[in-house]
Amino acid sequence: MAGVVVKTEKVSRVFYLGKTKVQALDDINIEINEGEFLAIAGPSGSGKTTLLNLIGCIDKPSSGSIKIDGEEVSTLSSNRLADIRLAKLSFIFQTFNLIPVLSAFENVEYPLLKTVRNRGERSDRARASLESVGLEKYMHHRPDELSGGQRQRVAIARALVTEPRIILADEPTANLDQKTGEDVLNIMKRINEDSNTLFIFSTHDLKVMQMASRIIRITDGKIVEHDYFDRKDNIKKNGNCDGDYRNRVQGRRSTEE
Amino acid sequence: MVITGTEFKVEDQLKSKQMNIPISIKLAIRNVFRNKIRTLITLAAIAFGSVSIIIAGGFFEDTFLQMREAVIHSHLGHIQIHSKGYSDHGASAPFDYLIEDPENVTEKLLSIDHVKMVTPRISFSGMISTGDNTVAVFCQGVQPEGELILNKIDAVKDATPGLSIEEGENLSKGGQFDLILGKGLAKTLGAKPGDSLVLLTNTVGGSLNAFDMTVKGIFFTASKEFDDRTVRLPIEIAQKLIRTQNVQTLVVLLDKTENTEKVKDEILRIIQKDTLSLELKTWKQLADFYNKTVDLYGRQFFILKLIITIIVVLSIFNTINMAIWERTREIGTIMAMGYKKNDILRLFIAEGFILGFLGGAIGIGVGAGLAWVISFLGIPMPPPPGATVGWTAFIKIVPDILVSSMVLSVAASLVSSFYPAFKASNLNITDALRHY
Amino acid sequence: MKKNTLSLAVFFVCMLFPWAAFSTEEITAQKILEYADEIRSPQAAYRVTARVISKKPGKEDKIAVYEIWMKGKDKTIIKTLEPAIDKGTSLLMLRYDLWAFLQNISKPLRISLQQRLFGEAANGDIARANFSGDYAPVLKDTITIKGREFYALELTAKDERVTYHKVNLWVMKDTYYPLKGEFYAFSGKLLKTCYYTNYEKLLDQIRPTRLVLDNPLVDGQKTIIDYSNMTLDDFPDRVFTKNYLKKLKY
Repeated sequence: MAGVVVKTEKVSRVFYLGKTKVQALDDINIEINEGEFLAIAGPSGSGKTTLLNLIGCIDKPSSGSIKIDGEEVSTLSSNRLADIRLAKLSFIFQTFNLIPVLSAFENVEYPLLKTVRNRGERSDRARASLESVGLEKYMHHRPDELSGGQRQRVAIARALVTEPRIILADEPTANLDQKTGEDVLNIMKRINEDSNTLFIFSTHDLKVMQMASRIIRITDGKIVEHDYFDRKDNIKKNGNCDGDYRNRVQGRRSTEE
Repeated sequence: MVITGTEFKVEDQLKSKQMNIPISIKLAIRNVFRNKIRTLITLAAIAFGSVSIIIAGGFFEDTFLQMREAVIHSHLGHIQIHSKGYSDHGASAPFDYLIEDPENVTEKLLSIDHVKMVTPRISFSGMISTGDNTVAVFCQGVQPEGELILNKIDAVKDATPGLSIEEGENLSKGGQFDLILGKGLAKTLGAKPGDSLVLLTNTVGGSLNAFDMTVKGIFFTASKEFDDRTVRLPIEIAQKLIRTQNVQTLVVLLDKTENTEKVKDEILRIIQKDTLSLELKTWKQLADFYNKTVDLYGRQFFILKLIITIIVVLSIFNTINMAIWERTREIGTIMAMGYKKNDILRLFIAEGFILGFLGGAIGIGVGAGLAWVISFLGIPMPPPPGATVGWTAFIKIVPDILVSSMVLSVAASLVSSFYPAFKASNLNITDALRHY
Repeated sequence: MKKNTLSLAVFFVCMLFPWAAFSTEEITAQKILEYADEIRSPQAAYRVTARVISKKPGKEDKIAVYEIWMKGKDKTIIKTLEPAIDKGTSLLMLRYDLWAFLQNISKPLRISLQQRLFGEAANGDIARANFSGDYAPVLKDTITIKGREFYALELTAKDERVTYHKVNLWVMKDTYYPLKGEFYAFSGKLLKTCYYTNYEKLLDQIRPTRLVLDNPLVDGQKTIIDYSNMTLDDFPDRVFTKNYLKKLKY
């Protein structure tokens, strides 16, 4: 495994709905390494999205420490966090979240406007990014002219174009049909393998978990399992493991052999 | 193709902090036209407000111009010269303040640039007697040729001259015992051209004097007040009647009203240089009713502009607010990418600015066009208070008003989009992303 | 009261020699006014010459001379004798109507009592002699000046055509010599002040032979009327008509 990119220590997140206190996350301690294809799994309301948001620097923990590339982010100002997001993080959303008035090309180019002055360079990178998801022919189409799967691929291209350290994907296949979802996942997996970009998913999709190199399972704000799968599909167990899960793992191993 | 590379370091990526202007404007413009109908209605509201200001302002300006020229060309002239002390004390002792050596002064005045003509006058109060009835009148001894030139109005299309003859004829050159009566006065006296009247007054020495005069004509001006009490007679006869060689006023007519201040300064300079015992008043200082009207209309116009601006502000605020509501998730996405609060703020203010600018530009185009068409046709107007005849109104296209209507549109748009933009920039990212 | 100290002094000198005594009956404001009128002018038909000097500060004095014919309270003719340019201008007053006849105008012209005749003197100042018919008097006060008592009367016009709307008149007690008058317009504005001075014997009575009309607004601006040559005369009524006006000989 390569270096630690994300390290959380005793992270918790509390929300107040009126007077009611909701503990979304409690005592989260994890380390995430470069190149992982990580799934944070759990049912709705488990806190997986909250954890993703904290790592994604679009939310702050109520207590605890989060370090990205060794830098403590839990105490940074919102402007400084924006800088970090710009430089190191990209997002892919369940609802694609493309800007409807811009073409696919312009959507992909959009994050570069902040960092790359040279128009030619921006154009090259955007085009290359679209090519890597196979949508170079649809460059000038607007989102409303594209299918769901195509839109998500544009979103992936947009996430890639800034060459981030981490790509965070919040249930990216939830709004896609099964086949399309699979295709999109395969693209992401391929990118992860080719460029060694860290992918962190929040998901309850089995397909995602099956492709993951590691699964962190969360229930009611607490981590219940860590499971590692290295690239050679060696099972490494860490902590508890429920029955279902073991079967799945075993099932996979059996098809490989 | 695979993107390799850690060629771009973090420092390089943060090199340029500003959005590139052309693209952000492109984005702002596209966003503005995202919802075409809503944008069109908002632009229409702004343009309508703009057009209202341009038309109303142009109407007022035209009114001022016509009023001004009417009052200048009926009896004020552009500048009036009197003997020093006349304005302070002349009311109680008019004959103590007469201009001695008027020919010399007239010559000096005529030598000044932009002075078209100088005509003398002497005014006094007198009585007209029809035997058993006497009516107090205001008498003006004038030089008929000079007054004729004064009465022509060049600055306004199709304008009624400052003083027109309704019945009979105007005074003519030469010292005949003729007089012309104001319309209201003639009615009071029941007099017609050809009638004989006696004009009675006190001389400069204080004694009573009177002449038999013939009514040559009946006149009317823009001022009903003037027409109700004024009699005009040749200045030579007036001088004989009150027994003096001097005159009281020298009325100066210029080629253009805009030159009044310039000529005023020059006359003051000459008065000082030659130590003449004279004082001057410009038409503006004398046209009390005009000044009050300008003031009144000015206030009304200000209120109108204020109301229109408020309406424009509210409509843009509403539009931008709705747009932000609809794009909350988008804003969250952009901020998740790394765009900062200021970027969001600037984006929406730019959109507000574009609305204001476009609306203002349409307003100017439509407003100026409409003003031109209306001016081509002309608006027939009834006589204003205190006047006797109606007139034709036009809409003046005033560059100042065009500019100020654009400024107002843009300023209103910036002001109104600020608060929604500010709120948008302070959105909580996770909440925004969860928004519908 | 302090303005015309000279007139006041002259007045008091004259007061040392009362020439007529009046009965000591119970005195009313009306009676005071009537006695004052009798002092000022004879109650029979008479003629008198009035020399009017108009003074303005910084300017030369202007002089006019008139011959005044009076019959009763309501018939007056004023003939202008000087200056030469005005000679021949005649005024006729019948009750409150006033006509002017100028040599160059064929018919007489209607003018008013309030109009200026010359200087501070209005037509009515010269043409109408008596206060008692025109004004209703009220005795406001009795004041003492330099040891002598004066009645302060307030006169209000009985007819709106009368020259002044209100007059304050100070009349000396026992002698009924008028001292001073203040003449007011309807608006309450003080139009002029008149001092009755130079008390001399004129036609068997001590009368004020000089009137000083003072302009309240301009210091030093005043008009002096000097009466002389007062003689009784019997004018026929037809003299006091508009038709006769043009026949008047100069």
